Amino acid sequence: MRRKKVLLEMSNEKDLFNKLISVELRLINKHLPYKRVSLCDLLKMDIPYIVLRDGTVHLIDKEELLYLSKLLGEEACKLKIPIIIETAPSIGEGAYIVRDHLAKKVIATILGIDYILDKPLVIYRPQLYIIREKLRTTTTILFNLE
Amino acid sequence: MSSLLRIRPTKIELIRLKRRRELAKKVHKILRERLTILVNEFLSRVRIAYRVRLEINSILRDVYRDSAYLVSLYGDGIFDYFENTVREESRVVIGFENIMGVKSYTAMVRKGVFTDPVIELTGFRENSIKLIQKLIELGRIERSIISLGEEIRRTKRRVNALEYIFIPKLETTIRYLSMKFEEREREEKARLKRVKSMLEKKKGVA
Repeated sequence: MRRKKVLLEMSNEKDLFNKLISVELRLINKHLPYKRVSLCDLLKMDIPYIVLRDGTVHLIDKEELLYLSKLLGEEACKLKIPIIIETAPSIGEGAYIVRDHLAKKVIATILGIDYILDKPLVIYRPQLYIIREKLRTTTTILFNLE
Repeated sequence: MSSLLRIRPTKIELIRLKRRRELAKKVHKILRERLTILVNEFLSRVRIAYRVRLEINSILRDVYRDSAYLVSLYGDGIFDYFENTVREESRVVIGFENIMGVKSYTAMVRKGVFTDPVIELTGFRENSIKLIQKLIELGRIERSIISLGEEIRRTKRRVNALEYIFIPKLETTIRYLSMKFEEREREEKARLKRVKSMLEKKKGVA
């Protein structure tokens, strides 16, 4: 009887832990888009929106889209929205990388920094805050597990 | 609450525990990062809300002044006239925005179409539309502040649970199991030595 009780307690404790970890891992990147949409397509929409992985509809501010199209000029149509900024645990805490070529250009222009075409652009937390303040609905953060 | 996890003291369990500890540390790191970003989003929105409130106060002053002027000039009927000259009403689109997994309401104002034969009315109408836009913006920001606040509290609890309960518990259990296995090994060695010496003694007697 006692052995049964102890085994039950053991499994409960394990379950709780596994549940916490698995839920966190499952939900951590649910805010990413199901499919990224080009800037031009969004500008054509009456109410610009994207669908996220959790099935919710994320409305995008038209003013931000206009600002981005003004920044990029002719290349604007190639930009995919939302701009994905990845956390980079390999570089260190508080470091973020941007891989997309046009996204790099946008972010470098806003921050007034240089970037290399072949390498991902590395930005740091204070810079991320500036970007998030300016591009509230058109940027998103990917939490990298690596 | 016991500081040790209740598991079977086997080597397989020890390996599992070590793997679980690594995973827990990773999740803890990600959650802490998320918490930092959420807190910053929260603070930045509080700052914006304060700025928008100041703007609303100044616009409100202008709207009151203009309306008082219009009433004094044209009488109370001016506001009926104001209503009649709206060709297409302004609309507010309400939807959701997702801030790092935090769902919050958002709204957009779509400006209507008006005809203003009275010149004084144009300024008043522009100011009132600006006021509505700012009020809706403030509502959106304050709603997101509330949602972010709730999410910050939840995430903080999870981070603390991992940091102060789960990871220490795993570490203590791993340490306990390692010590137990080491002790078992030492015991085994001592036993073997003793058996060996006994056998040697027996051989010597024979």
